[in-house]
Amino acid sequence: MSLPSKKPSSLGFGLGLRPPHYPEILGGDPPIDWFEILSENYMVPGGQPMRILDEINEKYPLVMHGVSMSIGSTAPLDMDYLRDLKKLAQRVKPKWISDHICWTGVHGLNMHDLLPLPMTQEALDHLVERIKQVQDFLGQPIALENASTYVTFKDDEMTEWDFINEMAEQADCLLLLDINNIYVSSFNHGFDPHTYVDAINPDRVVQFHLAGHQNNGTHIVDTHDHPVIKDVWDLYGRAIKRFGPVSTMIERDDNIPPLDELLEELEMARKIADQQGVQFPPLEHQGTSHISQKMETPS
Amino acid sequence: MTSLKDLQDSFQKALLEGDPSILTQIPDSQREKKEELLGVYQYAYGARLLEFLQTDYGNLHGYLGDEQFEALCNAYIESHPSHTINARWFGEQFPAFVKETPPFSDMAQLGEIAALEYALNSVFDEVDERVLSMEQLAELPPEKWAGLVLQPVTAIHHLALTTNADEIWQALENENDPPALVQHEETVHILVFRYDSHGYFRPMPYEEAMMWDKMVMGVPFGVLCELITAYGGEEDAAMRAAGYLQGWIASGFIAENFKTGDDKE
Ligand SMILES: [Fe+2]
Repeated sequence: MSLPSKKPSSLGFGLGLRPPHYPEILGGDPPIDWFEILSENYMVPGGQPMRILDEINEKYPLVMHGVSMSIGSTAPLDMDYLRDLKKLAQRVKPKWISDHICWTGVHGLNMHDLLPLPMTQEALDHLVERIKQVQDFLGQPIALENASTYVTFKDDEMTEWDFINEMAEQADCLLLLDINNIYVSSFNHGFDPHTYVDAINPDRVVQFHLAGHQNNGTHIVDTHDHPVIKDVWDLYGRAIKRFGPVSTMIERDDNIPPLDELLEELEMARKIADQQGVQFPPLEHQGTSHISQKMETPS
Repeated sequence: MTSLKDLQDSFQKALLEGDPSILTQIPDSQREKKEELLGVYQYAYGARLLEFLQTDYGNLHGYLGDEQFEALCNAYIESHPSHTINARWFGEQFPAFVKETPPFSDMAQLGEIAALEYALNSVFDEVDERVLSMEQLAELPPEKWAGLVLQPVTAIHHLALTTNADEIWQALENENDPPALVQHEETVHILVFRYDSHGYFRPMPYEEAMMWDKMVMGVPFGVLCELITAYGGEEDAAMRAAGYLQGWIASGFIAENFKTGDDKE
């Protein structure tokens, strides 16, 4: 396997940036190494969201995480969306840009959900082609995240981990591994999450998501509205041991608790990395390794 | 084998119309029937769109109560599948829908509360612009005033109300019981604007509202003064027009770029 041409260095332990925490983040100096912003929240004309984004960007490294690229859709790429995304990236200069391995709609409609792809050669080829187009347009590699899924398809031809490895290799893209999503999908589809973690090519992985979910007994729904559960922490331990000091963050989207609660979860992640003997690079170095500065926009 | 395109068409139909044909492509899991598993996506689709509307129209929700608000939202969701990549714009046509769709259209205050909430939300993250100052205008030679064409900032909306929707909204916002419905004999006007990052509104007297609308349409200041004269009488008409203008400028309602009649564009 070839190494991705530009794998950015580790940022440490971060959080998803959420508006209820703005005052604490801007007013204090919480022990958070970096933030992930939801790109769409800042794809607005102006006002308070953009002003606060600029302020936080001055204090912390940022990465951009989107939900609307619809990279796996058979509908044409939404060039208006990609233009807006690129414009935001030029303002933010994120360490990297991510979205999900999914599709969100066809025929000009948006289901506002991360819909599942069949694990087929056809879907793989389609994805690879589209990722290349997007990376060319943005002028930098993107990271793609494994989504939680609730169904599989009768036509599936390969495992999700083989599918993802192939995708990353062929498209020369990065991976954002959501440890909770691996757990959720393994429960829903009856595979061993360890097999998944052990199979993914470490050279591609730039970021981990950790989140909570809702277990309905026969299936788990990826709600992001609860604390991370023990099984997911255990899986994170296995992952960090295998993948090394990968930028790690807590992703809470609903039922958002006070910042302190998320900081405790982040402390837990630090402790687990420590227990696994994984050393993160000192943070001083990060300010000098802006990946976005190293990238050249193709002419 | 189903093509990816057919699979996505059929999956989307399951979400939009409840069409079950995608189920032929999906196996049961070890623990659960495929209908239930597909149902997670079907439920999430409606729930997410409902949540967008609840977020944007919180006081209309409070006014109508859960059951009626959800009935209204479900009608909107069914007739307005999302064409936007951003949740922020999913509810853009909601005020018009409320105004036009029976039985909700029979209660004019509903559409007007929705329009007010939409305006307040939209000024929140509207574009940041440089605004005109009195000093800039003072530099304008007197002979240019008649041809002066002003432009409002983008983050501002004039709403014409036939009910006390504004008072109902304000009571709900303050978590008080809403006042009884009042149908105004004559339309009242309010201006929704942004101040210090947040949306506010204030009433606008009829004369001011008329001048505002004409100004927005690009009518030059000289003609605005004539309209004011025609409406409210000649005595102190120029003073009144200048007074309104001064108020707008002081409030940051006017964009920096203005034109005078002889500007070549
Ligand atoms: Fe995630």
